[in-house]
Amino acid sequence: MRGVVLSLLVHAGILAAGLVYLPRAAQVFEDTPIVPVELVTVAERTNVRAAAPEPEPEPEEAVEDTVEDEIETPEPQPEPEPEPARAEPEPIDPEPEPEPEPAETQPEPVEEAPEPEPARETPPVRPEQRRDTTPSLEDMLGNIERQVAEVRRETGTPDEGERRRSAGAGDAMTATLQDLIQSHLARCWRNSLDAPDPDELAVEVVFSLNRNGELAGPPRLVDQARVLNSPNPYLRVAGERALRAATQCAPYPLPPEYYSQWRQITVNFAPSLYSR
Amino acid sequence: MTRLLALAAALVASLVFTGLSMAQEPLRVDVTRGNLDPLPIALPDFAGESEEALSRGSDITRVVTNDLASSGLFAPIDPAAYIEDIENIDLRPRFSDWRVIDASALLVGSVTIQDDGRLVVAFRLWDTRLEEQLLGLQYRTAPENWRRVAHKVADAVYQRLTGEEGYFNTRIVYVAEGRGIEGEPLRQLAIMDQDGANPSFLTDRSYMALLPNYSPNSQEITYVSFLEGQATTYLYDLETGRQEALFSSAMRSAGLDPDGQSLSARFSPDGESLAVSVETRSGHDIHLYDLRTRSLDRLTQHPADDVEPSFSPDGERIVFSSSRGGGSQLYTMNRDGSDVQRITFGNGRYTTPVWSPRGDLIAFTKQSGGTFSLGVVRADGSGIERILFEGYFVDTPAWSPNGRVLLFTRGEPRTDGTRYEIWSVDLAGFNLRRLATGGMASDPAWSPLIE
Amino acid sequence: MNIKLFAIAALGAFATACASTPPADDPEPIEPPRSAEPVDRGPSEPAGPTPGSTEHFVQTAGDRVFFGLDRHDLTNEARETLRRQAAWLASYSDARILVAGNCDERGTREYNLALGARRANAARDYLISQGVDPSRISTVSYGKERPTCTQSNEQCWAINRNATTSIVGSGYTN
Repeated sequence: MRGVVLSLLVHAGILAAGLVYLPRAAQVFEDTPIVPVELVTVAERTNVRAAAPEPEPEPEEAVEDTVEDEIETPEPQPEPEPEPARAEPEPIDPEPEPEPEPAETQPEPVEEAPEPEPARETPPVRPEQRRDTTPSLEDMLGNIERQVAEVRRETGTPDEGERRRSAGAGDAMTATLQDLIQSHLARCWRNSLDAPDPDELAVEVVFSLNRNGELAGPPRLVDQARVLNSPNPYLRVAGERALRAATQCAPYPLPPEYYSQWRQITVNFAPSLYSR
Repeated sequence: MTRLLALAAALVASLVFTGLSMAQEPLRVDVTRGNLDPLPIALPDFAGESEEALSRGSDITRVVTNDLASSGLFAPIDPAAYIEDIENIDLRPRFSDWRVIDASALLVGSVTIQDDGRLVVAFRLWDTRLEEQLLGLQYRTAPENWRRVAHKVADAVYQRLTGEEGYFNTRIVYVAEGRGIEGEPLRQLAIMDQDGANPSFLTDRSYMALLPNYSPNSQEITYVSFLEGQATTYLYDLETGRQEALFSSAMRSAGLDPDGQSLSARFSPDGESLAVSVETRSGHDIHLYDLRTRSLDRLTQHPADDVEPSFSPDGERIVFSSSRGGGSQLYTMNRDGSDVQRITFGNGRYTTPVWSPRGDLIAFTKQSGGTFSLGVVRADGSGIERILFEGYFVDTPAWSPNGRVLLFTRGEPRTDGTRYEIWSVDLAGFNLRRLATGGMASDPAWSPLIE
Repeated sequence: MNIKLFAIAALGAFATACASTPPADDPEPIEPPRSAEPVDRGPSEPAGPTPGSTEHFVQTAGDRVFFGLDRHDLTNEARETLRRQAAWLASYSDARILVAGNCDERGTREYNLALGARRANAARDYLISQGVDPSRISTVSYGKERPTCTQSNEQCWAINRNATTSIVGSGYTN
């Protein structure tokens, strides 16, 4: 009976989360209609005339074969277009959503105000190391199993679920979980190391997970307004890349017995440049 | 009734659940390591109502796909894997169909041919993971401009997904190399689209033309030729085809030998002046040429050769190479010649500095031992230099307008002499590609973005 | 008979010149040329080079001096050649010359254009120090754009690092 209730609770949670998730995606379409742009023919800039004297046809092909086509000579615009060069978003009506209708929205888990960042290690990463060299997931999993076994030996208690844990074991476990998540996300995260000033492109993403490691809702940027409205286009992209990574990386292969520790995760995606 | 109860129970339960979860602090994780893998993107052929529109749509998709793939930042997915057939771009795509083939981004578009013959090209860029439209634009243009539209679409997609300006709607001027009937070397200026389309000669084979550079408005180039005997800087108006030797009278009025060399001239970012190395009695010195007053100001005075000047994007400083320290090294100075600072210190001969459009880096070539390399160094000389390519011969780096990609001349030894081609490499040293010139080519100059 | 001898001598001299060690003998000029042809490097006439012509200059003085890798200072051998050139020019006082600086392909384009100018100027300055009137000398740098040897090897590069003097006209022309 208890099991049934628990199951019900969990599933309700998933359902609620799903209902929160979908309507959000549905709105976006209307916010971003197609913007028409008038493209003016710029023959005078992009097309060029051959210098006088004319290139005479020559028998040998050493140079000739590089450029044998004649350059196009677009006509000038026949008439000035009535529509402005950069018009207002044209009302291209988005189709009605085929998505299911939203139900009542569930309050989403609220984060505490982000704490001051812990001093974090930023191991030097040379850009040359593009192919990531993080330990494989198998290694990490092997590691975590050993650690779990160790924790059990030390505490002497059989695992009774996520509520029971000693502080010391929890800290060790926390570090292990962090490693595991780091390594898992490294595969999905397209970082912004190749953008200018990548160390200014750190973004925080928060998300909740179900016990099976699937997302319980869409990941959110902690500082969404600042990131997505930033005048720095690279920051906006960094935010989207982080969201994409958190989404793409689901499900998260994390030990279910420590679910309470990882059911909510805040990830600070912070590209670190080799020379800093 | 039972169902209602169950729903209510579930609702309450989930509230409780959420409450419980709030008791637990979120697990904080710092992720500093990721990848620089290209973004998988699906680009189904742009849709169209007529045969003609469909065919043009397919052309446009091909150009966009090629542009994005060539950047190394995108991995277009093989269309054979596509599940959903996009017929109406105003319908929401079935994202799961695209996620299952690993597409993170999806570009859908349509081509309409208006009654007056003009093309309307509309597209939507979707994020399949976040299930959001990232961009929706529509271009209207004369039909012969379809390639430009395709490049503009590629630029828009590139910019939306990387945060930086694209560089696909650009052109490249270069030197087509070859040998004439009697084996004499031929060097003709040629121009083509960034992707190799629409090639054409700018100069004929009766004289050598070398070292082209673009003006900021992309209407003019400078180049060097031996038309007057000595290597001389020319200005070439791409619109009219008009050419003029730039400096002879200015050199005379500046008290220089008007028959002395003038070399590769680069425009200031405002397009109003040129930095150029001109031969003086004591060797080559950097000069500033004012295009309005047509006067030359001498910026360096050193008896050693100072050559290859290039402006910073703010126009405040100039980088050049000089043998003043013995071997050739790189130096920067203010645009009035003051505050000269050396920025390279390594072994070997550093030449061809070019300031990045972003401003933070300077590209160079270095000759050390038997090899040449292409590298970048911070403009202030701090930090270590990064080598992006090493090979038998490297010359004349040219930045893409967004500062992410470098074109350069690459030479490889062959039995009948060195073969020169233009290659590109990105700032991380990846995505090495040969530029699609037909024959031997060198001295690339990359135009600014064409609007 | 006389003609044949001359031809043989010419051939021999030409071969030696190509090996970059022109003969040191300095034949007396017989008569100033009526008109030296501008840059005629075509195959020599069977009669042998006309005294005062480019061919004659190449044979008797040597038209090229060579430089070390990335160098523009004159070697002793180069000075010797230039002294012969100066002597020849003293004999043909109407002749005007063009000194062209050349480089091997193992350098970047603009760098080599400047280096070639240094080489040409080094040769010119030495000729002036040997009494040649500066107004008779013009210089040009072709950088690495006009190599005599196009293969990619050390021998070729050494040959291409040079300053080459050619007769561009007599005093009558220009």
